[in-house]
Amino acid sequence: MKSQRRPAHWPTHWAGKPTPSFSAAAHNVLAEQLAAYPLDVVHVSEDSDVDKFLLDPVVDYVAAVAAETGPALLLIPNTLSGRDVAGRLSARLKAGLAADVTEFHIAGGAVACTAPKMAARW
Amino acid sequence: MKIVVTVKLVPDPNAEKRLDPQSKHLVRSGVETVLNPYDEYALEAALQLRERMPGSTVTVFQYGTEALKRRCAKRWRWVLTKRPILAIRRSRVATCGRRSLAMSRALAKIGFDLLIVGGLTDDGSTGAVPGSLAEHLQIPCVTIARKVEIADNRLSVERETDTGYQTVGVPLPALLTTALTFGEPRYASLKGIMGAKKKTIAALSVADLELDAPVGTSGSKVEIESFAPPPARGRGRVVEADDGAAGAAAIFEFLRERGSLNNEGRHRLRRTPRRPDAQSNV
Repeated sequence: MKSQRRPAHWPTHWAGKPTPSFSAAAHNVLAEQLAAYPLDVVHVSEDSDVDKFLLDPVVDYVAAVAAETGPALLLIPNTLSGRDVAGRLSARLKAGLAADVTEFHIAGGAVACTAPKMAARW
Repeated sequence: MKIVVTVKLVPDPNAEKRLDPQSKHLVRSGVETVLNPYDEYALEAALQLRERMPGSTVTVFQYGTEALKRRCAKRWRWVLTKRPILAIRRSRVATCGRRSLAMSRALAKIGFDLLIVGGLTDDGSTGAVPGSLAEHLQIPCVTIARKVEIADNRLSVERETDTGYQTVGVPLPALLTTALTFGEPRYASLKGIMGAKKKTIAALSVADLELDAPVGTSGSKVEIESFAPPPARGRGRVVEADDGAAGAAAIFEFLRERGSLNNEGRHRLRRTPRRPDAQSNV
């Protein structure tokens, strides 16, 4: 596991500020692409099993990152594999799960989500 | 091989749905229920595997109330081979997290070599239950299987991924969810329907499951705050054009106004992920 942490003296608010650069993990194409976004930290898995499109190592890896960093919220794309990973992580991390979310906001220590149900048809 | 299939009754996709303003859950009474369409494929997969593996049994597991138990008795007893259906009685509606924990305890009690689960339900559609079940049961989870081979207590599964097909090997016991390409679900045979009445349904109660928190909404981390019907769609704008070129220009102008075009005047194509329900009529 390799993390690139944003230098402490950078302002926490990212707007208009330089984006993080990569050194050791620069070989990772996706990490390079992500560097163009105003992110604070990017974690890159060096486990080659992740590249084999197996989900077990992905779940293990994200769970390990979550255990290390203690996120308040995990956002997972709603792809076929994203659904699998989300279901497994919610059980492993004992976290609540909302699927198919189209909007959300944080209020009072909770996240309020809007999601279509019953194919938004009733 | 002992195969267990989990099933759920869901409101008829074509029926009018209502939400209870008090509980904020779907009103299920008085609504025609059908077997969750994804579970039909799970059942079909189980029956195909039973045919290929003589001596195998199929047990159907349903998480639901006493009333559901009676209803499911009518509906899918025909698929069983001397094995009872097992059902859990529950007190209140559960969200998928608590539900999958309760289900996993029950399934561990029943025991299985292969657990086949529908990939999604037609009502909740979180798609999180299979993954959560596998985590709680500590078994491998292979989703969206379209072909399965069994040899030496191992499965070789061809599954659908976001980008194509993938073949994975997995030891038993394991959890499988079925793709809608696994095979067209069969109809009950007349003999099966006639023999259905003789089959018994066993039930587990929540108390049997040794859970440390309630199964219902009170044990859930997710709370439904409110619900609303989808906003009504306004009438579209009708463009009347003299010929195709004028019509195309009008559409182009409309897209440009909406900001749907990029700098080169091309439509911003949104990549929509392929979903497991892409082929269903939901």
